[in-house]
Amino acid sequence: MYAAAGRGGVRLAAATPLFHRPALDDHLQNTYQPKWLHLMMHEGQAGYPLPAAAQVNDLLSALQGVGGQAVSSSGVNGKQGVVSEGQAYAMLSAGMRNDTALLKALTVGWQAQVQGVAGEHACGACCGVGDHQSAAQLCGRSASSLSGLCRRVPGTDMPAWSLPFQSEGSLGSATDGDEDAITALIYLAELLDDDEVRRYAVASITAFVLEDLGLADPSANSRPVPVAGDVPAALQTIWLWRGGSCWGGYDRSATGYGASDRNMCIAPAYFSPGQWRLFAKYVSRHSDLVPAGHRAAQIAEVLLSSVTWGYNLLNRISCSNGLVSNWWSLGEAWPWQGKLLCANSATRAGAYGADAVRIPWRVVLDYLWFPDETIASPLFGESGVQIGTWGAKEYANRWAGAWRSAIQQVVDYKGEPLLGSFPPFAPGVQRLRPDQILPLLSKLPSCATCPMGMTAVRPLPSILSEMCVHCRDLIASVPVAVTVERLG
Amino acid sequence: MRLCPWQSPWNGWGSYPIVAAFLVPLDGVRREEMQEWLDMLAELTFTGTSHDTYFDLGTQVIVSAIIGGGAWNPLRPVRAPSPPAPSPPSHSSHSPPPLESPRSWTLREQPHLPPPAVHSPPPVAQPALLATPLRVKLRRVKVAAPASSTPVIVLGLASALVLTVLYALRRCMMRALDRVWRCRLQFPTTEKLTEMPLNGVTGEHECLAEPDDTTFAGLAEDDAPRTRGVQGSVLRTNDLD
Repeated sequence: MYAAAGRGGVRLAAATPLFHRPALDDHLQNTYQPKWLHLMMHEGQAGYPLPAAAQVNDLLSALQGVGGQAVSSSGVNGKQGVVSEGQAYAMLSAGMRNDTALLKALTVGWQAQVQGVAGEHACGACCGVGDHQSAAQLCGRSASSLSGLCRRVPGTDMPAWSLPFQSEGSLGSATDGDEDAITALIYLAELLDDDEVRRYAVASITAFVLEDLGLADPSANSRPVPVAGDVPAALQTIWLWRGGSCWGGYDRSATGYGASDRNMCIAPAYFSPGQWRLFAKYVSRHSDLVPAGHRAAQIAEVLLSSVTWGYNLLNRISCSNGLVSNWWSLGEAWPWQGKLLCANSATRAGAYGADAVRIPWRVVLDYLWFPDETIASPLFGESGVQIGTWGAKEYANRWAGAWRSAIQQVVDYKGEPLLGSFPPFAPGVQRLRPDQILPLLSKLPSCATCPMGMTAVRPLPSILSEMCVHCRDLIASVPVAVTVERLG
Repeated sequence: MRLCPWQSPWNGWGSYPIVAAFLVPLDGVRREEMQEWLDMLAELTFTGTSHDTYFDLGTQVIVSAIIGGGAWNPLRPVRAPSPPAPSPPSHSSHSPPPLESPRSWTLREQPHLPPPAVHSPPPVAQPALLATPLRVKLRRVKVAAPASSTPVIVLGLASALVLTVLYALRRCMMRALDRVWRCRLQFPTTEKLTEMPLNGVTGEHECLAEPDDTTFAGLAEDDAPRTRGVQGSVLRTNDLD
């Protein structure tokens, strides 16, 4: 599956991490990947929910003749739909595996998602205007008559979070999916060594910064530091991130029902410092490819501000064991001076659940790719004085240190520690079982900024999980009272 | 995505991402122990319950790729290395990746070519890591080149192989030539060379002696020839007594 040749015919190879588990690569190939491919919908097959490649206005030359693929968001037997998050997971995974053929097909699907409707200009990142027109009808409108941060870069845009369009609720981009997909676009550009794909990747980064980080409306999406102190000039404007093109971050333009869930609201796990550093460096390296009217330096500055202040925020709102809330409402002065208020996507504020779970691997990518930079990430006090450094290593160490410590405290029926059954292993000592280790995550202490603690791993008898597996299809057919619909 | 109201104690999306934190060095924990933690937790969590939805599987394919070593930095593509220079064979063909500083395995802004290995000592294998089930991901070191350069690469690899074998057998050849000169023994054939057992200490091939030639006066014990037992087991002449 490591198929395609990269630049100049020389294939690209992964840098071997200091710590890694090669056996997982086999597990990926033999177990996960077949199931993952089973979720793929192919252009030309019944139910494919996206415009065909031939109907994508800005289809890249390198993708001509390639049939699109999309990841079903509703399971193998569910209705045919696709969310940008799932499509982006597939793209990022294909890029990491150097699977250029699959990545090309998925990118066709991504470009079709960006366009949204055949024969129209991209409109997925635009937001409903409340006149109850269908999303497809909205796409026929001019950009000036649409709300939201959309259509800011010719030739590309961020896609709607969900397709096909069911209603205005389908509109608006999702920052988490967009950043994964753009990373994959960079992978594709480098695997193909194709300047047109590079240009598209740079344009997509530009659109991401404008729409998902909010550069298209600076006054609404950034704040000056309350106290400058010794904060460098480039960091004296605090940029964070939005939930997508329609809401979130510092933006407080939402009104009416649900406004408190939108305004000043962020998902901490959308923070992806490694990917954002990558975007900043990539745009700087290919500054000649930045769309007209935009500057590489400004785009990079916003990205790096988001990284810095994201770490400063994470330092304060994550527990000492790494737990962090699914959602956080920002403070008016310093962003960490906020509260647990907003909640979206059917996950709760104050709990480490389905939205928060992405943050460990997103932050770890920063250490894997940019260890020097992340180790030097400045930590500022509320007087503006740099009080230290804090980045990916420190956050990852919170998780690893807490879990390791919990395992070390496991005792036998006599109350004695099970030395040798966990690292450093002792020969002849039986090793711990999953049921002795994994439920410990649920017992990690909560803290004031994540009072409900871990909700993603529950220490219930495994028989319940078996029931869950067997009744999944039944549950999926029962209305919302029993199931939880994840919105994005 | 539909989530069951109850979740497995080790569902896919809950615990897998946290294992990724063990990719980062932890202060106060030795590297080989950190690798053991990663191995243990990865094995336990990745055998957990999985629901075949995009959210579960998406987490699984991403995190397993990252922990498996697949998250390459696209800013600095790593080109496939040149064919290795001749060097003494290592103890095992499944030696672990060399231990380097935590920062050295990421891609740098400017590529730093390693210094020529001709005069440098070979990397020292770490016994603790040798005991762990690590495998070098040779298939990730992809060597793909235009068709025109393929013969050059093949020739280079073949040359490296020949030089490596010659280097490994230098002592044997010298002794054999010495014996031919002094004792008029027949030099072993190619088939016999391939059957030579490995010296467990140095990794070099043992010299082949005639089955009935169990004693050599005038040679030190370490240099004394050894008889070759069944399937490569090596018996010292003293063991036969």
